[in-house]
This record gives sequence, C-alpha cells and structure tokens, in this order.
Amino acid sequence: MSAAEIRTGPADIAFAEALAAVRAPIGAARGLPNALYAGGGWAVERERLFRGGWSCIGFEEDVPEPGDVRPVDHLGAPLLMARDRAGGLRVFQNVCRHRGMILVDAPRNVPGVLRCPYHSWCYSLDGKLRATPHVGGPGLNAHPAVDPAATGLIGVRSGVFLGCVFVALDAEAEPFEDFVAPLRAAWADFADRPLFHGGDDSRFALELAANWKLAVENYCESYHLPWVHPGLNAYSRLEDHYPLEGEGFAGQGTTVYAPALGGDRAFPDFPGLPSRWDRAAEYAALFPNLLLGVHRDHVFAIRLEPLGPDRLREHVSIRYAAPEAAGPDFAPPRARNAALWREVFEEDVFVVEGMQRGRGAPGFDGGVFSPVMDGPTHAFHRWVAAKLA
Amino acid sequence: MPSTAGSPPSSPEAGGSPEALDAALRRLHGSGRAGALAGLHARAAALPALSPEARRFHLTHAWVHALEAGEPVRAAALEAELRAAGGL
Repeated sequence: MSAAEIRTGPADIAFAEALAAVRAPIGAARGLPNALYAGGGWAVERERLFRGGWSCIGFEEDVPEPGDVRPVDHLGAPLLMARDRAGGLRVFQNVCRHRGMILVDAPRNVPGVLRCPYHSWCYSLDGKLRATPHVGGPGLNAHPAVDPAATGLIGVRSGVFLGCVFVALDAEAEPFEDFVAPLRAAWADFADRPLFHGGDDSRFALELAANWKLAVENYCESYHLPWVHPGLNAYSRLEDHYPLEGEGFAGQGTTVYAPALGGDRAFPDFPGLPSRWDRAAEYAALFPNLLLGVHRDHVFAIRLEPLGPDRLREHVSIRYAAPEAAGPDFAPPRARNAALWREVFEEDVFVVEGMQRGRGAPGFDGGVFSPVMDGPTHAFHRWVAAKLA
Repeated sequence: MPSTAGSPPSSPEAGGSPEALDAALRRLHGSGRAGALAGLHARAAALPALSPEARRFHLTHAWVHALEAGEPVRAAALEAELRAAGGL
C-alpha cells in the first residue's frame, strides 16, 4: 500500500500519486486519499505511523499508586502500564514469557507479584521473573532451561511529556527526548512543570465513528471555530488565532484566553509564566495521536485511541497548575471547566464524523486546502504522507 | 517433622483435616484471595504423613500465593522451606 512497496498495480500507482499530491505546496496540494480513512491502508498505517515511532498510550494518572497496573491494547499490541514499588512508571508487553498468555486483563492494584493466570509464572513489577512453579516437574520450581535472568517481562521504551505516556515499539525509533524536543522547545514555559490531575471530574471519553486522523486534522486548525464553536468564538474570535507548526506537531494559538467560568473562583496560574500567557493559549497535535492544550492555569490532553479504521475513542484528561486546584475546594470550577471543554469537543463530533462519511465519496480527491487557514492541517497530512511514502 | 513456616496459627477457612482443607481450597479458587490461599496451602503442606512430592506441591502453591499477596516475610520462609525440600 505504501509507495515503497509499489510493484505494478494501477491502484498502487494511484496511491503513490495521491501521496505525492499531498506533499505538494499547500496551494496545489490535495488531502490524503480515501483509502487512508477506510480499511485499505490500516495495516500499513498502524506499522508506519504508530509502531514505527512514538505514540501516546495513556496518562500518568492511569497508574497513580505503586502496584497499579493497567492493560492497554495499543492497536492490537498488548501492553501493560505499571507503577513499580519505587513509584517509577514502566511499560511492558502484557504477555507471559512462557506461553504468551495475557497477564493482566483489567486495571487493578497488585500487592505483590504479577501472577500469570495460566501456569502461575510470577513477575515482580520491575519485570523480573520471580517464580516458575512446577517448571521442573511437580513441586520442582526451577529448571536449567529456563533462566530467570533472561526471561523477564519484555520492557517497552517509554517516556512522559506533560503527564502523557508514550511508547516506541520499534527499537529503531529515535530517542524519546528527540521526539518531543520540538514541542518541548515551543512550550518550554510549560514542559517541565509539575501537573496536578483533577481526579474523576477531570477525565472523560468520547467515542466517534471516524478515522483518528480526522480528529487531528480538525484539531489543528482554527478555521472552523466561528462556525462550529459559537461559545469559544464569543471570547476568542477567528482573528485572535495564529497557526503553530513545528517538526512533528501542528496546531493553533489564541491571544485571547478568557474562559467564562461564571462565578467560580479562578484557578491558580503556573508560577512565573511570561506575561504573554496572561491571555494566550495554544493547542497542538503531537503526531500521531495526542492533542494538547496549554493555558496559564491548566493543561489538557486528548489521547486518540484508534479502534479501527473508522472508529475512535478520545480520552480527555485535565491537569492543573497547582495542587490546591486539584483539591476539594476547587471541585466546582473543575467540573465547570471539564464541562466547558466537553461541550467544545462534542461540538466537533459532527464534523469529524461528517468528514468520515464524506470519505465514502467515490473518487474524492482528498480535498483542497486554504493556503491561509489550513497550514497546520496540511502539515499533518504532509507528515502522514512522508511516513507512508 | 514438617514445619509450618507459612501457615497462620488458625484460619476461619477450614478445619484441619485434609478433606476440609481441600474443600476450603476449592472454595477459594479464583477468589483472588492470595493470602488466604497461601495460608491454606501452607497448612496442607504441614499435614502429617504427606509424601515429599505432595508437600513440595503445597509449599509451591503457598509460596506463589504469598508472593502474589505481597507478603515477603511469609514468602521468604516458604521459599526457604521449598529450597530445603529440594523444590528450588
């Protein structure tokens, strides 16, 4: 399906030509071809866009306490997020080294070792193989053929940025710090600060009948704001926005961040922020699957979990600048803030799902871009096309 | 004389007979109560007239469940018993 794998088929040639059209200058470019929004390109896309590099699998608060474990199905790859006894976050393949059984099938806290439910091989939360019951015969728990030192859980490279957990399944993927460096530099004012998750009132999920890329495309641009988000537009107008683009990310910013939280008390700001953030906020997609928003008083993240070529779950998490903002005194404004963002994200559902249905149009050419308004969306398309070429 | 290093002094889960212990173990199977399972298997391992193989079997299960329950002291004692019994 990718250009590199083209042999002779006319469909492959057409696909390669479509990818080349995506990479043209924006005024002449076309969007990604229909095949990438249906089943046709799914397998290659999974390998090239997700498993070939870094992608987000969850949030730090998914495993808050030592001993917490959470299975993650990452586009078919069974992974396990774990908080070890020392408080470190680890990611393993969620698979027993014996017969490949899934180790953990639901989030829970593990007081001791992880015991495989099949033959009860046990692993400590640092991944070491701790017990192999009956491996040498009944009641004989060691065998020379099974070296515990070489048979621990398979670790997965992971990294955390703004409380979001990333993995790289491909050993050849670049170092995590290189992956996040461009956005970290753009958001140096926020990148290394402690964040405080608001708890259950600060997380929610939406499920959409759409390919995950459409959520990225829509998130990147501000062009649709006055038409789709009248509430946002009431205080942050189209002309208040500016595009953001960098290596591996794209989005938009506003010079007017002034949410209407009603009579609720204001959240504390991040201390020492440059004054430009008094009224600015920025929103960027970190490719492939994380949408982020930074404000003087809170940060939100939307992890896009593709459930297939035309289904998507959005996991939303909101974190605050100070511990008191995550405490009980701020529960009402936190709920209000979460409701405001939920309203905005729900307003996007019909356009994301509508674009998905539109991709069913035979011969749709990927669409054209406004050179003025669609730069960040085109940047994402170019990133996808370059990965698949 | 088998020791009872991993066994609690008493348990509400079972009486002391092999049949009662077996019934209690079946009741707890799949319950997720690793600590209780460790205790019952440790008691089963301490039953008189047990073959060395049967004793290692129960010590193995007691040890695994003690590890699972996060009971390092009991797990270490059972591990030492297993080692002495040739199970490790």
